[in-house]
Amino acid sequence: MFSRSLRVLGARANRRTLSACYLRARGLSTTLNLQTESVTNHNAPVGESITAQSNVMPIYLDAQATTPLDPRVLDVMMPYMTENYGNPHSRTHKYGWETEKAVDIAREQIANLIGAHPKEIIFTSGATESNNTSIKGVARFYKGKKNHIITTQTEHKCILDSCRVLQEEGFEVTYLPVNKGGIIDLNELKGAIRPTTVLVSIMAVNNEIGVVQDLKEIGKICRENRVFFHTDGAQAAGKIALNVNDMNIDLMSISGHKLYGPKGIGALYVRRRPRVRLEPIITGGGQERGIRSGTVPSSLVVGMGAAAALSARELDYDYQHISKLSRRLIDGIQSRVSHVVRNGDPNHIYPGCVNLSFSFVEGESLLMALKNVALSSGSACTSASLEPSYVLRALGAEDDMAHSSIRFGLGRFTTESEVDYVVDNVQAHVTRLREMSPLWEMYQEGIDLKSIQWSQH
Amino acid sequence: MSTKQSQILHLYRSSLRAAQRFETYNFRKYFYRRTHDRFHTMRNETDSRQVEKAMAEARAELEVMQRQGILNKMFSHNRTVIESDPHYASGARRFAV
Repeated sequence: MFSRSLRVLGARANRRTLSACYLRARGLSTTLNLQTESVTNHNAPVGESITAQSNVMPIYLDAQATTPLDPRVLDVMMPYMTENYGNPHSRTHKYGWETEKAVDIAREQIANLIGAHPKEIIFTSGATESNNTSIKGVARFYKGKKNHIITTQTEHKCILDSCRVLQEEGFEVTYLPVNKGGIIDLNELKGAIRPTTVLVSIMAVNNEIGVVQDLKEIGKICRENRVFFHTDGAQAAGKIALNVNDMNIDLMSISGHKLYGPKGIGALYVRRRPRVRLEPIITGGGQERGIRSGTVPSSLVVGMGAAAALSARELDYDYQHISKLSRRLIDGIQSRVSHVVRNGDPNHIYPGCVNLSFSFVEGESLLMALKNVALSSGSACTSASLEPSYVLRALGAEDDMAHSSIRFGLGRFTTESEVDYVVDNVQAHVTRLREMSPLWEMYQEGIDLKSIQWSQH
Repeated sequence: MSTKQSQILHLYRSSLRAAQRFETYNFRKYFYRRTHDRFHTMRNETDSRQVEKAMAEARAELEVMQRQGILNKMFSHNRTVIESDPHYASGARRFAV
């Protein structure tokens, strides 16, 4: 199928006729809805949104929520979604053998990304399942002898919720506070460890503010005290250098769709030397070392492996590109808009996650105004509720700053033009919203807002 | 120009053209920039084995980009806000429909 198209490509055929005759030959519609609706002039007044049209999409700046599927990953997945549909656990025929080989290669690719052995990788349905399995599984296995867990206040909801469930089962959980920059205090961690502590769970890169914890030091402390160290590496894998042996990590969760891979797949790294035992959450036929039974979704696994291999190869290049864009975004906004605060310690931060608080502007209204940019305030998990994000509250941000924060997520595919567009739009909208804000007016007149006695109605 | 050099140039130009054929703005820009940077980093490489390896990788990537370019065209019908704005993006492709 493709060779025919490639031959036509080689003959320098007009691309339009190539695709048209290709599609007609297969009885498909030849009218792709490309530009049937002409794109309106969006140099029109600020506030008008051309994304009201059906096929115009906003600029994507939400890489922490999810990332687009890299075409190179899709290319590797395609055979396993068409021809090679065998169950990798079928031992008796070629369909099974070939798929099993592909799954093994993917396992190795993911292991190489984090410096692990392929046998230590378990495939799950995502980082949430990996987090649940590791925390609940390890805690329940060692329940008789140890019953204390340490985590932080800025963890992902699935970890906080798993700890809450364990608390109801009789465990004790310590939630470590973070400093204003979002980093935990290592002395506090040392002080919190008891003889009955079984697990410490601290995420590598925070999904809301992007701070990077000092994994090496935390790992060292945990190893000295013979406590298991679990880290949620969903936002970190493939973005910063990780090595489970250097950092003394015993368990790590990885998410496929944060790595430019498919959604619905994740991995859990479980150390074998020294062995980490855990009780499985999903039991059945004993697949994946008994830790996660169920047919391994070969197409998704192959995609995640390819994404991991790609990330390992492109790590430096992507990091440089994203750092450049991040600098451009932050400098651009801070030089044109006053009273903008970046949340998170700038010395320990992943550049692709930029969380800014704009004073005197409400975050939701700024999000609504920036209709042509796909952004988020807080994480996707908590954006349904109207509460300010618990992560920002843990940083000690006051309520008004927590409410006015926006998260810009830069990724591999973001371009400089998109960043420039966003900077210009942010400047325009923040200025406009501040002009409408009475608080801004009062601030300009020199009134100290904290001294105001607001009347109750 | 030696045959090796002309081969590399042909590969480079084909890769750039394949990158330009993506419908999705972000992929098009990324693959164009990536191809350009990959070839430029290998520019001053003298070890012939490294060059051969890089060329083999480049050929494989070219095939992937060609296939995915076609697939992208078959399934995409969205435009990004920035594509048609001349002030920001030179989003125009070489072979605009």
